[in-house]
Formats: sequence, structure tokens, C-alpha cells
Amino acid sequence: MKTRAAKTRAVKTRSMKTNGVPRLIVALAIAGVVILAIPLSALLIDAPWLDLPELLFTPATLTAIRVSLVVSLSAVALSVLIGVPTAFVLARTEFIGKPLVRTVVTVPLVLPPVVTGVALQSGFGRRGLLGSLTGWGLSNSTFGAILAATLVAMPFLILSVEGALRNADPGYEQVAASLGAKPLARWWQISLPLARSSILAGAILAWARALGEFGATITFVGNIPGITRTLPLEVSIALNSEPEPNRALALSVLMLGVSLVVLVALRDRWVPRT
Amino acid sequence: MTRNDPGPNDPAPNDPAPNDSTPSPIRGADGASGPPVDRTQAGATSGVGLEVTMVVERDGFTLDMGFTLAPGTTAAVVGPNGSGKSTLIAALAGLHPIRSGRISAGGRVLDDPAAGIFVPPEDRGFGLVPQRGMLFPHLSVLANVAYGLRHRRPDLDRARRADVAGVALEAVGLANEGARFPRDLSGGQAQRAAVARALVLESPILLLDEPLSNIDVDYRQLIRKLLRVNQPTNQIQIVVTHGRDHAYDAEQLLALENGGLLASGPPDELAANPPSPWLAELLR
Repeated sequence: MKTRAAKTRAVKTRSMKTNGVPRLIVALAIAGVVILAIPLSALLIDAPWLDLPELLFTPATLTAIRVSLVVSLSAVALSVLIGVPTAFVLARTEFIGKPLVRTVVTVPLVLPPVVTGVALQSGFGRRGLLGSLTGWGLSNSTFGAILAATLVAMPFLILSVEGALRNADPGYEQVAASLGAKPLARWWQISLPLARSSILAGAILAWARALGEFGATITFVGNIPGITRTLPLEVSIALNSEPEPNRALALSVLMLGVSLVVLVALRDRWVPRT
Repeated sequence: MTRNDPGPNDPAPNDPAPNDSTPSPIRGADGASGPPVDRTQAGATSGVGLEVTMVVERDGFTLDMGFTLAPGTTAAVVGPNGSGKSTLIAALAGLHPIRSGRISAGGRVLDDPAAGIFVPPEDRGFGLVPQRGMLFPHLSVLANVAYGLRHRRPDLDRARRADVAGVALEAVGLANEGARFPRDLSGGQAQRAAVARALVLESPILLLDEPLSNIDVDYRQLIRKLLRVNQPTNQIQIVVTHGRDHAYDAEQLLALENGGLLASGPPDELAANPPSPWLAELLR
């Protein structure tokens, strides 16, 4: 009895309480953290900190930043406009074929982005469905890049909002109905405001995904400076086509910084408070 | 509880029939003030009350009952947990369609599956005080109370709605809480605000699902009184309650058991000859 008490005390004074998790599992977890941490720390060590302003304020970089902002923010706006209603329909209505609809809107989450790009080419490309019907397509246009970013980003928003709606109490909308509010009025006045934090979180997540979009974009709309060349495309150009790895590093640091900001903005949502 | 002034009585500018649609501000529990309530809008309900025969299925539970209430009746719904009280309220309010039967109020059919009729809750013109109040968390207490007026009283502008809601809040003892948000209220305060939110509508039928459950003893009397004093002529009130006093406020009891109507009638009659031990216990 005495020794057990002593042991407990000894464990408590250590810097980590394993709470019965086997050491092997803890060791593997440490390996996991290390594998994730090595490249990020290496990037930060490699980064040309002193030349950062100079590297980022080049015309090519500023153009890529502009294209990235236009594309990602438009994609988020489009995602909110059509993704929020989609989430409401998925969360609240019942219809035949609902599993199919959910699959269609969430498949870009697991689809290789290059496949999304090829699919966009088939659907909205000049030589695709849209092209054969109208003679023009969205390939090589900024709007095509926006569409590609929307397609890969919107599922994050839909899942975030739909999840929140499923946990929401439908009682508020019922009370609003009993007080005379028509369906559209109570959607606007009650449902939407109550879902706003999940919409905001989903929009931030979608924005992060849209900002990082590479595969679908380059496959669908190519790599045209000032039109479709976003930051990630600029990084790949800098790293591969031209001998200027420092610019690639600088751009990467910039995007890592943005990602960290996103992570901080969403930490209450992702990291349950203990 | 102080007397509430009727508030400004000038009609809205575009009001064709000023005297009929001027809001009759909710009166304080002493009932001393305010003009006699003119229920012109509810005129359709006079004469014929609420007629219900229904089978409702909800989450594997079946409620099968029928009853009739004359205009102006206050009915108390009593029964053990799981007897179907909340299902009854949900069906009447239109929150849950009935499986078969018919609900009609004032001669107007609201729900009749066989005839393909279902009037959605927003078009029934009922008032509802749900369990736990359910104040909208993103609206101020005053905006909560004014919410129904926004939809049911297009003749009132924003300022007038706020006036009416403010008077109602004062009547339930929340005169100073209008600008606060529901999260700042205690459970009892929220429940009182929910009562005010339904009372201001002066609806022909008012449904209350355990309106006193969270309310402090001091305020129970007040709310019970308010419900009586502010009952517009011909308004039918249906109150789910576990409270003896509140049950005796009613002219008619609807005693539910296992998804059916065990007994109905005036409280005194049922107390004299209770058909079930729990009812005898409640009415003792």
C-alpha cells in the first residue's frame, strides 16, 4: 500500500502523465510529431529571413499574391453562397438520392486534385461539355481557377455547417414558425444567425484550402501569370523552372504564416478545451 | 407589480381601422388597466372553439385522443411523464402533423390528413410557450418578445412593436432586462420572457408547455394571474402543468395517460371522483 502511494506520487511529479498509455504508443506518437516537425522546422531554418521583403516584393510575387487573393476569396464567397444552402438541405430535408448528393458534394475531399482538374476540363473546358454546347469554356481563365478552388474548398464548408446544423436544436425554428415567421423569414432571421459560427469556421477552412489549391488549378486552367498563376503555382515555378529556390522558400514561409493564422483562428473549434 | 400604462394609443399612420387593430397592451397582474380587449381579428373563433380528434405518432409513441373546448376555455393538460402532453402541444401547434383525425379551430380545419389539409404553424395564428422558454439566443430579450409582432402585426412599425413588447416585459417583471440577451437571464426569467412573447400576440389559442416549470415560487402566482387577466375574450388557453394550483386555474382538465385521454372535466369534478391515483394525488 505504501509503495503504491509512493509510485503514484512519483508519476505525478513527472512532466508527463501517461495515464496508462503504453510506452510503445507514446514513442510512436513522438515519432509522428518529429516527422511532422522536421520539414517545417527545416523550412524555417532555410528561409532567407533577411531577404524576405525583397523576395516577396517582386512584381511576379505581388501578381501571384493578387491572383491568389482574388481566386481564394471569390471561391469562399461562392462556397458560402451555394454551400450554406446545400448544408441546410443536407441537414434538414429528406429525399430520395440524398446519399448520392452528399457523395457528389464531398467527393472532392478525397479525390486527387488532378482528377478534379480533369473533371472540370471535361465539364467546363473549351473542349468539354460546356465548350461543345456554347463554343467557349473556362479553361485558362481566372473564373476557371475560382471554380477549381471552389470545388475543392466548398466541401469543408458544407461539412462544417451541416455538422453544426445536425446538433442544433430545431426548437428555435419551430418557435419562430409558431410566432408567424414564414420559412424564408425564419431561415434568414433564426437559422442563419444561429449557424453563423459554423459558417465562419467553415469559410476560414475553405479559404485555407482554396489558397493552397494547386493540382486542380494547374490541370484545368494552366499556369498563366496574372490570370491563373496563384501562389502555390508561383512556388512550383520558382522551385523548378527558375534557379531561385530562395523565392520559393520565401513564398512558402508566407503561406505557412497564413496557415498558422488560420489555425489560431480555429483552435477553439478543433482543439477541445481540457 | 405596478400598473402598466396602456402606452401611446395613436394608431399607425396607414391603419384603416384604428380602434380595432391598435394593440391592447398587456395588462399587469392586477388587471386594473388597459382597455377591454377587442378580439376583432379573432372574431372567426367565437362560437366554435377547438375540436380535436387525432392519432399522432412521434418517435414510436402514439397519442390517440379527442376533445372539444369552447371559446374562452382554459384547459390544463396533466399526466405522468410520457403520457403524451408535449406531443399534444406539438400536434396542435402544427409542429408535428397528425396521422389521422382532424383538428379544427373556430370552424377552420387546420389538420386533416384524409382531406389532405395541413396548415403550417406560421399560419395557425396560435401562441406557443415551449418548454424551457426557447428564447432566441441571438436576439435581445426585447427583440424576442417583439418577434411574433414582427410577423403577425404588419400594421405596427418597429417602434410600436418595441413599445408593446416593453409593456409586456414590464408585466412579467422584466422591465429592466429588455436590452439583455437570453444567456444573461436565469431559467425563470427566460421562461417569463417566453410567456410575454406569446401573450403579446393575443392569439385565439395559446399553448403553454409547462410555463411555470423554472419560475421561482414568487413569480408563479404572478404569471398565473397574468395568464388569466390577459386572456382575450374567447381565447382558449391550453396549459401543460404539473402544478396543483395551476390545474385548478383551469375550467377543464385533460388528464392523459399512456397516450390516451384518461378523463376530462372540471377540476372539482375530477377531484371528487378521480379515475387514477396520480390524478387524486395531483388534485388533493
